Amino acid sequence: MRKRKILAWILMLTLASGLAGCGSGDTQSAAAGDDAAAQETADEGALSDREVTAYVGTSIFESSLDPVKGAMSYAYPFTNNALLKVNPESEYVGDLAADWEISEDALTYTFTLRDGVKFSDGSDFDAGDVVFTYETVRDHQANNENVDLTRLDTVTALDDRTVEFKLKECYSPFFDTAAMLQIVPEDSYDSALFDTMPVGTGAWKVVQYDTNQQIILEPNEYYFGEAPAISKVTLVYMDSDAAFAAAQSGQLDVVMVGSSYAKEEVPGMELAALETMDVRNISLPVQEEHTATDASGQEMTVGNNVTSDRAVREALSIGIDRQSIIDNAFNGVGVPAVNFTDNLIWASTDDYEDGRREEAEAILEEAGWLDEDGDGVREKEGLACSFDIYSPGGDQDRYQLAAALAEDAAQLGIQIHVKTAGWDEIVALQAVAGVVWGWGQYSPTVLYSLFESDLYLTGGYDNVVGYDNPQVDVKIDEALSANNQEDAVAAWKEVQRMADADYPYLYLVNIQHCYFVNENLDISTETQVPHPHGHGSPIICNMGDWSWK
Amino acid sequence: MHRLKREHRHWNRRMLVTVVTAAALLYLVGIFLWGTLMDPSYYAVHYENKLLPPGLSHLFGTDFMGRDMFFRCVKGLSNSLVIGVLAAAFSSVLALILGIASAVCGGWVDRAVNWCVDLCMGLPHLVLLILISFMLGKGTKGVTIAVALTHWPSLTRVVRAEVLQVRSSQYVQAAYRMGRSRLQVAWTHMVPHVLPAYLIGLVLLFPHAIMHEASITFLGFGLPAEMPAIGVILSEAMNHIATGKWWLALFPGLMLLAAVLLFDAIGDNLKKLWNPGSGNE
Amino acid sequence: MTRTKYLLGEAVRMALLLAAVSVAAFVLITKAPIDPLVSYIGTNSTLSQEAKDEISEYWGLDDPLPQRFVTWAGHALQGDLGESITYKKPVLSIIRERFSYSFGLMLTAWTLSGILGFLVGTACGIFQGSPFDRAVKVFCLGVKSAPTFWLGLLILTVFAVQLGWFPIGMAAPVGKLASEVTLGDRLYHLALPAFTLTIVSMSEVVLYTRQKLSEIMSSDFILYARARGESRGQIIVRHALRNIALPAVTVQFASFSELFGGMALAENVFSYPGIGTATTAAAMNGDVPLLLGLALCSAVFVFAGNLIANLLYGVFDPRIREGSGHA
Repeated sequence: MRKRKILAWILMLTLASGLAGCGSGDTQSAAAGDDAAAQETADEGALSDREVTAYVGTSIFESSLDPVKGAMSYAYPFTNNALLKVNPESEYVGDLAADWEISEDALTYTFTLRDGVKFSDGSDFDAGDVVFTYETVRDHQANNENVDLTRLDTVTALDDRTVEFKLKECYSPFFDTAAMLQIVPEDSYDSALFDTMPVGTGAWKVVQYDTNQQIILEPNEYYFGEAPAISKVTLVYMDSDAAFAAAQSGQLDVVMVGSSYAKEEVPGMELAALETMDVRNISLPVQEEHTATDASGQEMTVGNNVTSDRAVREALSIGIDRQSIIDNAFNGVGVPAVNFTDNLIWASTDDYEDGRREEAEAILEEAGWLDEDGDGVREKEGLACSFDIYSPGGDQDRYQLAAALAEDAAQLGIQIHVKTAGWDEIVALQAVAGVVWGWGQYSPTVLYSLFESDLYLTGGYDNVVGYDNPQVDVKIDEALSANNQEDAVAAWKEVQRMADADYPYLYLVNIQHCYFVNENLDISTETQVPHPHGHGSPIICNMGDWSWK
Repeated sequence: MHRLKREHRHWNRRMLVTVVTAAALLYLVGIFLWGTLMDPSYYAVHYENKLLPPGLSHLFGTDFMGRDMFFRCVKGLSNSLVIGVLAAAFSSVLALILGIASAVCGGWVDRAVNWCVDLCMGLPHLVLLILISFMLGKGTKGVTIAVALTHWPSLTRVVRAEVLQVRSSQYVQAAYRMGRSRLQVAWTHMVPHVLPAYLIGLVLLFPHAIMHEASITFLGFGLPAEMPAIGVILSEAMNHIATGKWWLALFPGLMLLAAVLLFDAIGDNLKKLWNPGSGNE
Repeated sequence: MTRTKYLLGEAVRMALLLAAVSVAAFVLITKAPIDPLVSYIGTNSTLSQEAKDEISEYWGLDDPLPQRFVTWAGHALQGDLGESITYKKPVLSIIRERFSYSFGLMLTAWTLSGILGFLVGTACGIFQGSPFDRAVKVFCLGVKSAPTFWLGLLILTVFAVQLGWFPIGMAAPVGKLASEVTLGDRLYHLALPAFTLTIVSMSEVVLYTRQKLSEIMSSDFILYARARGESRGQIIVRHALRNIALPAVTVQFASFSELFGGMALAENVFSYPGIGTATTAAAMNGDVPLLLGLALCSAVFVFAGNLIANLLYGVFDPRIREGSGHA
């Protein structure tokens, strides 16, 4: 009975991602080799293979590597494993868990663990480590903003190989949690050390960590899966332009580049534009300008009298030409997007055509936005149809995207001033102006943070537009507390259907991550998962499958 | 230049200096006016013209958004000039007041001013600029105030030395004895005396101010990306150097260099006009 | 005033100044519109509330400003400058590591620019008015007026991108273990930033030496020496150089402030992991402990240069003994 439910869910995942087939159990059933054998392969690998030096952006250097503090929770862990993982079809499959069951009331999750798994220090992995990890995170929830365990009641080791989770209330995204939180060893966990040198069950271990310089990885000889074919990977930290130059002089095997480099040629390297679930959208404040009090009691001006008009938001959404914006800003790299990407099971698949300029103009005129003085910018009752969009300083791609949007929107008679500001300033500006955002994660909880009315003015990046729709709030609750995934997904889709009708966010593009890759290096594109948000880091998700041709 | 020859052609030289100064001034004022009055469409985005090398249609080439680099540089230099000149002018007034106060009042005022000068020079200038800009939350306001607040020390010393010279002169002593207040003496006798040195110092301050504005903008503490300014343009050029887009870095820098050299030339020439003896270098 | 007394007085005066500079830097940095706690732990901190309270308590973040300074200075004097947000390491160890890179860079540029500048300046002074002199003068004026970072960009474009002779950035080859990096690697990566900084610092020395030499050559005692029948070469070596060498060294020491600024810009252009790049990174990320540490470090650096210059000045300028110490 329960088994079937899971199967059904997996089937749905598969269908939603547009790929038939249900062979998700393959990796779990692979028997883990014994220690000696694993070590032997690793040693052999070390002798016969070249090393890889990669630049995958700098975000990997900017936060802790400790899973307890939320490290690598976006599906590209390399030192540690979670109970579940996503496969290239965006389905959840077992990683440290071999099997699992969910109770009828969706309050009890029971995971059966994989046998014969060891940590990179040689110690055995068992249910105690899972209990330890989850309890540590729950007890220090403030230290981990990526994995939310506030609804976890108890976690118990039924025996060495079985862990039982009991939830306080139904929480459908708990399954995502099991794929995000990687397990650390109970015996050797050291909060300070794990920031740079975590001990884990993953395919790789950190052998040297030079802050803001390089992270050197070697295969973990105790890894239960197939040993990596590459004997050493160095992730380097540098400015993106220096990285490109280093690639040109042949010093790097993999280099992440911004789309502005996509038209360049690098001798001995090929361009790979990899699929992501990362979208760029622009928040358009939906409330009219007024004074409000934020969560800390501070009085501030919020809202925007232009973007608060639904007609303006709708006209922008349907009237702009996303493909030409992408061509102009990103050298054509990226896919037009009007909502979250279809490679997420919960994402809305509603699509609409854009570039309908006449229709957009009609909407604007009907709403009273007319260009009576002939300056190319519409007005309504003396108010010019003009607003600001902020792009975080230093992010050239987002700036160019916003600039290209401004050019396109000008043709509709909507004037957009693109400005740059640091994140510290954006926090103060996001309630009154547009901001270029990037979203890309497996968990549907992002919808909660985008649309839940209670989150307005609570700080952080939650519901910055001031969206307030009681029906949507009800649906969000329904999705979060659903006791099965079908209902949850249906409710999430409904949330998007209702909210999208108000166009609070202007979706522009599903970006692609561009890399120049040594033409002799196979980065195994077929086992790459759709990249989540991570400024280029996610390419390392399948580093164990890379090989030299 | 041989001494004899120089004296022989003294008048000609004076005229030449005047002409050069006028030409330099004309160029700078021209750039300023042209940039200020320029229609933004001249440096507007034209995606069809991305990264064109310099040529007849685009003298300085185009950038990654297809903006004409020549017009963008003129606009940028004009923006830089405005900020540099405003900040330097403010700094120089501060220097004038402090320098005169220091020399006229003497005693603890003098010591305090000297102490402030040393204090201001105790940190590398660039670090001081970064710190002030950081305190003010970066941006246009930060860079302008930082530049305005850090360029007074050397000029203060010049003004102070000049005032010290006249302070002991007989006509100043006479004025005191005739019962004039310190403020009156400072205004009627000292200000006119230090004015030439002050004006020359002011003109020589402009290039410093402009260069420092560009430098900290380049480092990311100055003007925002949406404002064309030489520092912004050059820091954008950093991203395209590795791909060989040399014109993005060369021309804006040359224009800045030209402006700096011209300000220097004006300053030096003013010095020669006021004080012909100093031209024997 | 005796010489010892002067030197001692000068040292004390400058030490007081250093203290004042650090107060000023502290006030500037802590007046920034950032929450004091956030400025110590960063916006993405994952610390627990207890840990945050502890930091707040340790650095006295809730105290009024003067008290905060005393707390900070107390810790700083014991060698504890706090933990950097950007690099997640003690500030002192970052400064030590970064300074070792910057020190090499500055020492190379400073020595080279001093020696080369002096030689070229002397040559210009001797052959004043020659085409060589004019060319050097134009070059020096040009370099002096050009922004350092722009010169760096041009040098980078020509030597690293177009010609490919030198690496485009960093202080060591990519992906090499720290233990494997050789001195040769270091020098190879040092070459371009050092070259840039040398060119920039040199022009001042050249112009100074050239002018002093020409002044001395037209002075009365040279005329007297000439009248005695000494040759041009003898005059230059015996009288002129001897008289300008020490002032030139003094000027070179007093230029530490500009040297530091030039270094910061050059490092940023060449992504060289020294004090300059650390300073911009710290200010960019609102990393207050590191910024404070670096400001203090730069003040000490300038202070050392000025102190040496003033001491040299006191030792070698005979007028000091007569009691006309300058301000």
